Formats: sequence, structure tokens, C-alpha cells
Amino acid sequence: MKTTLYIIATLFLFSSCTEKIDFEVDSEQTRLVVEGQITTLKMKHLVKVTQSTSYFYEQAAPVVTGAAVSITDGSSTWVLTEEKPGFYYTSETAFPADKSYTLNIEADGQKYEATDFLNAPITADSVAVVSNEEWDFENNTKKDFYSIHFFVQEPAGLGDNYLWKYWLKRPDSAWKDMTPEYSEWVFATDEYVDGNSPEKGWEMFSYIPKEEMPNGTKVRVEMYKITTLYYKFLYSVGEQTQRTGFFDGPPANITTNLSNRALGFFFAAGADTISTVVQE
Amino acid sequence: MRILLAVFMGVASIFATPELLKGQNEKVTLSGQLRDKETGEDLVGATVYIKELSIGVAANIYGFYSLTVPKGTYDVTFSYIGYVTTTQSVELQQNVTLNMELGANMTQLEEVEIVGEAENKNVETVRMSTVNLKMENIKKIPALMGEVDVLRVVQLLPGVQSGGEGSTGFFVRGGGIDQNLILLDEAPVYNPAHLFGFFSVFNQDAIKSADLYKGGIPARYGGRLSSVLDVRMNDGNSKKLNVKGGIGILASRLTIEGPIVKDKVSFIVSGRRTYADLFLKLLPKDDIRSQSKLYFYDLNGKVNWRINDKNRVYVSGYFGRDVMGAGDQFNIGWGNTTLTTRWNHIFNKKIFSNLSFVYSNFDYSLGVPSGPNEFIWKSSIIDYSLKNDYTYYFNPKNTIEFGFISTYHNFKPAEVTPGPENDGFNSIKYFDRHTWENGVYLSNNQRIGSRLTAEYGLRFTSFSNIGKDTVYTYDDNYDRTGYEAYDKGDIYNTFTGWEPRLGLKYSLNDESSIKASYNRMYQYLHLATNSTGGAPLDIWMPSSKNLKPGIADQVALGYFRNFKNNTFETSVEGYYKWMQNQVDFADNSQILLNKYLDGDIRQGKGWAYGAEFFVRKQKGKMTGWVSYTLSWSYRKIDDINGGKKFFSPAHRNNNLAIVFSYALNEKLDVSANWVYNSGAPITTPTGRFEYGGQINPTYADRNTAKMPDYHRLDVGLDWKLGKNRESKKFNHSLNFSVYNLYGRKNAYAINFVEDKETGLAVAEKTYLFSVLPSITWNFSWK
Repeated sequence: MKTTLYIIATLFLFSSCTEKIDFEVDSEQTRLVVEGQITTLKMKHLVKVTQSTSYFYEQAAPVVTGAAVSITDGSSTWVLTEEKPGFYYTSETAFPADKSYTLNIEADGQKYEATDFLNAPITADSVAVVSNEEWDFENNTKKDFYSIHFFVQEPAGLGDNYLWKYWLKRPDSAWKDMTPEYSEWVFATDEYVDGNSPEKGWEMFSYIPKEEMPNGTKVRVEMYKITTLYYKFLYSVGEQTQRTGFFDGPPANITTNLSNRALGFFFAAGADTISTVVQE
Repeated sequence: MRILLAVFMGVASIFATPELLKGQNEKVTLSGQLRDKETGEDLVGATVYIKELSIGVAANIYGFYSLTVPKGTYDVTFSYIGYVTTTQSVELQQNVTLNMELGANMTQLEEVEIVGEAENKNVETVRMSTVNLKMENIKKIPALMGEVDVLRVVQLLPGVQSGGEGSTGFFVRGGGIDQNLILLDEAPVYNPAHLFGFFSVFNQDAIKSADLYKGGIPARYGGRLSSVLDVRMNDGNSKKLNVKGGIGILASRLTIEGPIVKDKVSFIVSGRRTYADLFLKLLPKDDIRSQSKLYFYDLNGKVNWRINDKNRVYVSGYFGRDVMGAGDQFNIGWGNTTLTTRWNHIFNKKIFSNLSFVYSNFDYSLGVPSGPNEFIWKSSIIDYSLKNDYTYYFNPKNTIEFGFISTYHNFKPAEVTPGPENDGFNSIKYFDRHTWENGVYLSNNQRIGSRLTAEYGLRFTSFSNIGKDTVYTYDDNYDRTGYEAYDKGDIYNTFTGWEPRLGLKYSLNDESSIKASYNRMYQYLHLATNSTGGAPLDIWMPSSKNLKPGIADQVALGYFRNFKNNTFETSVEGYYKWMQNQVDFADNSQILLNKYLDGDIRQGKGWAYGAEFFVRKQKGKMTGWVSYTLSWSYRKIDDINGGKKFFSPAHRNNNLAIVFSYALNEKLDVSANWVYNSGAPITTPTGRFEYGGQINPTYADRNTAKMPDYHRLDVGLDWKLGKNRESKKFNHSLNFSVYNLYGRKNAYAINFVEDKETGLAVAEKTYLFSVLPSITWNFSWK
């Protein structure tokens, strides 16, 4: 929906222009920032701890080193180790589903915590790469693109939320995360799609130039069953950063599940992975 | 309520029992219609004055006047700005009906001295905080893309702030954009915007005049907190056929008007269409823009039948749509439809009544027309109103107004239907909302002695929610606890409100007066919008169990003074407005397609105050005005901004408009206007954090920063072509205008974004228009 509105705004406002300007803004005290996740996949799970900065800060966010980071489900505790500054990893673990997990961080004498529920994953049926003719808005012409269709039965009953990311492995290179940034993630709530399993699958990632996926490329899609709390966080990130200037609500702080004025999110999700190979 | 009804019945019984009138047999009534000699159009507000008695009256919005005086022979003067004043000796031994036609003043280029009461009307009337705009004056002001627009001119008036560059939305005295009641021939217009607000729905050729009430709002109006903009359509030339129109760079217009039966039945049909899309078609086929649809059109029509001196019937309507789309990618369309049927009836020459049936519909739809993503999303609001208004010219000292309005509103918030191939999505339908809004009022305009005039009235309103409906319930933390279901026809919730209105005028002398006013207003409909501009995706929400009606109390005090024989009208007004139950939304609310939107509503108080300075010159070669407003507008809402007060979106500290036009000679008119206002309040980030590989803002307090100040100069030139235009059947002219002459890149929005190339955070302003010249050819044939 937001994309449609964005297209309308861009297409229509043929005479609108943007220009960088100098604008002075106030600053506030720095705050702790967490970007962490745990899933049901067996891997080293990462919790990244950084600091907030003034808005026009010209470098990457400063990392928080030497923090004590651990995750607990109430009975067991996993202690994370700082493998490089600010990056805290678990050992290779698959977190059991249907439990709440709490992240605890102690840094510079302050304590922070965040809790999220780890939902059981949903099993995907298959994934397909489809070629279709689409408008290439950049070059103003029609062109063939790939899109990735994902086949899964959405369980009946409201309240399910999802996040998808994908990786590619071209014949001549290693696996590459194609969705490292928020703007590439796809997330959804089942409010409008409850109980469905569309015949042609869910069109998840579109407008992928064909040259990015030559024949023989392996495609891996991960589906995370996230909590409503994390869905709302992702929604608010979009509200506050993907602003068109025309259909925006008032600026507001992005939600968080961290305590003690910290920012960011620690989420838990049941994850399922499914792969295919591009063959034309 | 009972008292009001009793008075109402009492007044009604006066004309029902002729015996009562016989008691006044020393007095007789002079009444009739005031019209334009050339076109037969009603002269709204024209005055009738009897010098011997020093009494007068102004014609109402239908051109009707009535004056009850002792028997005798009098010199009666009829006058109206821009028209030749006519004085006639009238022998009043019995009731007399005198319909008067006034001719336009062709020598208005000279500073003619007109002696008549009409000239100091702004000083003399009890009304304050009110501005009347006539189309012929609006046309003198340089227009954006040559499209003369009443809503843009309204934004140049004191106390009115523009909703933003290229927006038809406006804020009046610190109130919200949804607090203005915009009426077109009595029908409410819910979204007056074309092309996302760059133009309004009001076609210059179809509109006669507009009145803006910012304060001291008469009891006959209600339903919005901050203002009433009463726009009236032309009735159609009842004398002869007239064709007029124009061709501009954006749109073309054509109007046909004339008598069906001379002096009895007249009609007007006026159409307008833009053609930006026709140029897009010229682009190569494989360019998406060539498959774009981008236009709007308007159609206004009116038929007016003077059955006899006592009865008159009008039917008027408006239909307009915006259509936008790009190939098979998406479609969006929206529009208003209004229909007003009116019957004017005069009882006993002293009681004027109008009965109206009003229909209004605003709807929008958007979607993808075909393919796997096909869907259509529709939303609408439909109103049906029955309205009955009376003006009782009781005696020259008292004019009583009373009446009622009853409106049924039907809201269809959203219905989304996916196409057959779009099998992933479920259709969505939100409950229709049915509400019933009523208002009944009584007011009296009374002259007390020679200097004091008071207008006092009371309006009583009610608003009911009617089933079938499902209302969600929320606890104190706005968490949903369940729902309540109501059966069809079940009136399950009712709000009522008493709305006192008062206006006072005290004349210091013929050229100056002091005025004061108070009004209380209730508003039962609220606009939820995410848009900073004039997006059509408006959601009007009725008051309900989860949404309390808005209430505003306003006091205003003013000094009015005319100079140089009423050539210059000046006024200074101060106001203070208290607003309750102002609507805002919880942080990061989803406004569109949110079933539980009422759980995201936060209500609190607002207050606004300011001073307005206005100088206007309506006579002579040079006309125009200067308006300056100094104002503040705040809100304080629990849960928003940590419960601390903040500047409302309507806040602009300083606002100056200079509007000027000058007749160089009989053929050339030049015009210019310059506007300046303080930047709108905005919220700027106080920090940032990284998440998801991108920069995310953090905020402290809301609306503490402001956008750069806004200013702009527009100029225009109107060149009448051909010779001796008065005697010719065909007249035409060229109008040149330049919007934003010095090309200031006024900010439409300031966004804080990440520069994709450098990865650095930057502040970026979006601006819409730089220098925008236009040319329009106008013609008329009669």
C-alpha cells in the first residue's frame, strides 16, 4: 500500500523537487541500542550493541564493548561472547520454541532487558522463481524481472505475523544476504490474508534484475514467525524512515521492547528455510 | 429544548393568525427582491435605506428584503457596492412589493462618491470576523496556473493560514483543517480538493460569492468548530443567453446560462476539465507516463424558477471527479456530488422561509485494475439533509431567524475487494456507520437605541449513532477488551449540545464601531488523515462511544473604522478560542485500513489566540487589501508528547498578505499579491540509532522546530482585447499570471533522510513550485 502511495506521489508530483538544506537540530544524551535475534535455526545468534548518536553524526554508530550479555528462558541461560567489538554471539544453538526469552545486558553500570516470545515456525511448501514483465520505473520502460514466489498455507485464525529475508548463491560465488537492510525486508500481518494459500504463491520479492540471478543460482528464503510486538516495531520503523513527504503521520519514536530508555529490538522467532535453483 | 420549541411555536403562530398582525395596522411592509439589471442575479447583502426614518435593511442570501414602517411616503435608497445607487419615492399606504434591479456601475474606475448606508456596512453590521468575497474581486487576484480559486483567496484573509504550499486546506484561527464547514449552495463539501489539493472544486464561472465566518458565527450555522465558508453558485442569467469560458494551460471552462422563460426561469451549466493527460499521451508508447491518466473535471448546474413574488424554487448540483492512474499499475479516483433543492416562500411579506433538501456524497476508490494484484478499495460518506430556515422581519428593530436541520450521515469507511487472480487476499468490509445529526436554532438581531445592535441566539444540536453497528470497547490503556453489537435501527448513543451565540456592536460614529462576540460550537464529525497535503484518502469518523464531540468556545473583540468616506475599511480584531476533545492519534498509528482506529484516538484540549489587522479598499482604480495576523495555537493531549503542550499543526506566528490590483486604463489591469508566513511547526530528530542497516531517528518533544519562513510574490496582467467592450456582443481578454515570481523554493516538507550515496544523514526539503507562469484566454458572448 505504502509503495502504491509512493508511486502516486512520485508520478504525480512531476514538478516537485528536493534539495539538501542545513537544518540545526537539538541533541540528546546517547542511549544504548540493541539489534538482536534468536531463532529455532541451529547457528550462532548475534546481538549487536551500539550507541545512539546525534542525528547528523558522520560515522558509523559507536559500538559498546565489554558488556555482559546473556539470554534466559527462566531456567536455562546462554551467555554471549564478544567476538568482535560490539558483536555478541551465542554458541551454535537452536532455541526451543513456545517459550519467552529475556535478553539481559549490563554495560557501563547500567542494566537493560528485553523479552520476546519465540513462536513455533510454520513449514513452507516450496519456493519458485518467476519471470515477469514489469515496469522499470527508473528507465521508464517495460522489462523482464524475476520475482520470488513463496508457497505456504497461512494458518486460519488472526494474530500471526511474519518476516521474510532471502539469500543467493551464484554458481561462482558464496552465499550472499540479499536483504541486509530494513528496506529489503518483507513483513506482514495476517489481517488481510488469513487462512489463505494462493495458487501462484505469495509474491515476496519482486523487481529482481535477471542479471542478478543467472541460471544455476541457488535461492534460499527464510520465513520467521514473529510476535505482534516485533511486527509493530517493524511497522513503526517504516512509518518513521520511509517518508514520502505526502502521506506521512506525525514523527514519533520507534517502538522498542528494551527497558531503561534503550533503543532497538531483541526478537525471537521460529524460522523455516526453503531453497530452489534458478533454471530458465 | 422545550423553551426553544415554545418560542418557535409562538413565532410560528404569529403568521398563522392574521388577527395578531392587525394590531399593527399603523404600519406597513415594503418588501421585494434586489437583482442585477443585466443578469437577474440576486444581490446578496444589497441595502435598502429610508433616510427619513434612518432605518435600513440588507437583502438576505436570496436577495429578499423586508422593512416594516409607519404609513407614509418615503425616499427609499437601494445600494450595493459596484452598482449605481437608486433612490425612489415610494408611497406606503399599504403593503408594497418592490422588486428593484440595480445596474452595475460602469464608471467605477473613477472614485465615485456614493452616499448610502451600504458603504459603511462593515462598520454598521453587528457581524464581525466575517469576510465577503465576490467572484469579480477574486478574479482580480493572480491565480496558480491561471485557475482562479476561491479557496486560495480565502487563505489570504486575516486569521486564515494556508494548509501548505499547493493546498486547498486551511486553518482558521488555530483550528484544524476539518473544522471548517464548506458549503456549496448549502450542501457540505467534504473534500474540496482537486489534484491533491492544488486546485479546489469551485469553478470560477459557476460561483457567485463566498462568505467566511471565523467568529461570532450566526446561530443558523453549526457542525464545525472554527469557521463556515458559505459558497454560493450563480443562479443563471434570467435576461438573456450568455456563453462564457476560458482556455488555460491547465484547464478549459465553458458556461452557458440564460432564461428558459424570461425573468422567470433561468439556468446555468458550467463545466471544466484539465488536460495534462492529453499531453502525456504524446509521449512514446513505452513510456509509462503515456499510459497515465491524470485529470479532473467539474460540472455545475442550476435551475431557478421564480414562480411568483412569493414562491421560488431552485435546484442546483455539483459533480466533480479526479481520475488518476498509470497503465495497469494502479488507479485512483475521487470526487464530490452535491444536490440542493430549495423552495423559498414568503409569508405575509415579513416572513421569509427556505426549505431545502440537500444531498452530498464524497467518495474515493483506488486499486490495481487487473492482474494478480488486482483489487479495488472504496470508501464514501453520504449525507441527506432536510433544512428549514425562517427570517422574520418583525419590525425594523428586530429580525428573528429560526429553523432546523436534520441530517442522516452514512459512512462507508472501507471496502476492499481483491480481483479473481488475487487469491491471497481476503476481501475487507468495515461496518457502515449510520448517524443522525439535528440542529434547531433561534436568534434575534435587535437594534437597541441608535448605537447598539445585538444579535443573540441559541442553537441546540444532537447527534445519534444508529445500529446496525459493532463498537469495540477499550480499557484505560486503550487495550481492546471486547465489543458491543447493536441491532439495525437501534439508537444506541446520543450526544447533545447547547450552543449560545452572541454578537454586539456599538457605533462610536458613522465611521467607527466596536464589536464583541461569543460563540460555542459543537462538531460531531472528525477527520482522520495522515496527509500533510490534500490527499483524498480522508476518513471522516463520526463521534461515538469512543470519540467525543469537539467543542469550541470563542470570544472576539474588534474595532472597525472606515476612512476617506468609506474608501478604506479597516479593522483590528483579537480572539481567544478554547477547544475541547481535539483529536490526535497515538504514535505510529495506522490510519488507513485499521479496524481498531478508534482505539488509537487520543483526545485533549486545544487553545488559540491572536490579533488580526485588516485594511481593505474596494473602490476606485486601485483595490486590494493588507492583512496581518499574529497568532498562537496549542494542543495538550494525554499520551501525546508526554502530556506536555505543543504547537498545533495550525500554528503560524506571523502571517502577512498584501493583495493589490490596479486598473491602468480601460483595457489593462495589473495585479500582485505577496504572502509571508512563519514556517509551520515541525518535529526534528534529536538523535539517531542504527537498526536494519539504516539510520533511524529518535525524537524528543513534538513541534518544537519550525520550517523555513514562507514567502511568495505572484503577479498578473489582464488585457481586454477588442474595442469598446460594453456595446459589443463578444468580449475577450488575455490573462497572464506568474506564480512565485522570484522563484523562492518554499519548503513543502522537511524530511530527515539517509543520503543513499554517502550514507550520511541529511535534512532535505521538498518544494513544489518554482516560477510558474501561465496564460489564459477568457471570453464571453451575450
